[in-house]
Amino acid sequence: MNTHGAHAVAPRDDDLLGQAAIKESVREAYRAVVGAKTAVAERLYDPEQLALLPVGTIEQALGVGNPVRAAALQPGEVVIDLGCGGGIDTILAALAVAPSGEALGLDTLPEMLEAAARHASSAGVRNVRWLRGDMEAIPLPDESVDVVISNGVVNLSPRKSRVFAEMYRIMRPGGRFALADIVLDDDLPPEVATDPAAWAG
Amino acid sequence: MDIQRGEELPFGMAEVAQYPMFTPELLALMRRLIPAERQRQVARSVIFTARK
Repeated sequence: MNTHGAHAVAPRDDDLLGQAAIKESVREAYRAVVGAKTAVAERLYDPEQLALLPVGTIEQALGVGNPVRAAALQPGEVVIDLGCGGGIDTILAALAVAPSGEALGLDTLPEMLEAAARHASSAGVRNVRWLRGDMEAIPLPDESVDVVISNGVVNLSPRKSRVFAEMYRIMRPGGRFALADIVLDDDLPPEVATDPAAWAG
Repeated sequence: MDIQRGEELPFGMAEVAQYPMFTPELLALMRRLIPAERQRQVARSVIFTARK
């Protein structure tokens, strides 16, 4: 593995495709996020959306788009946010589906889930539930949600096809997804492409 | 599934530097190896929507 990134984790002998190493690199990088940056949120979200949110969740926004806006959520729907991080999209989704709907935030990091729960509580959002788990094995029954959203997270998975299979499994018939993510138009230089950040993408 | 492609945003070096996977070492490498004319847009974000 390339070690240009400070978050590089060497693959184990039994991890021939480096999947566990990529996931651990991602976890280490996101565990180190301390917030206090608003540039990402200010670029992606409407001022009207930001006005509804506590500062803490705005500072922890690390998405790449605005899937809540694209999802056209309706009151009463059940929506899951894959890789919810600090909870910005989960909280916006909860507000959009209230009062009878529910938003679920899924993340692999307990630190992020705890922060997201604090932010939701300070925003007065109650119709939200936090789930710890991997998006490659979503801890929900088949056909249990109306909408799946995700924001800059599927690119972090070493098993993207598995994530899409899980999204399909948990969506009810007629359900939908709104997925914001990064795409490349041209190949990256090999030295960059072999860095864990690019592996994840 | 009928997949629709929605809003797109360019991501240059200034934007990717906001994200934790892009360490200072990786950003320095990218600035050195990616041609200057590509550094204003090294990637794009895209929103995809679809219905089951």
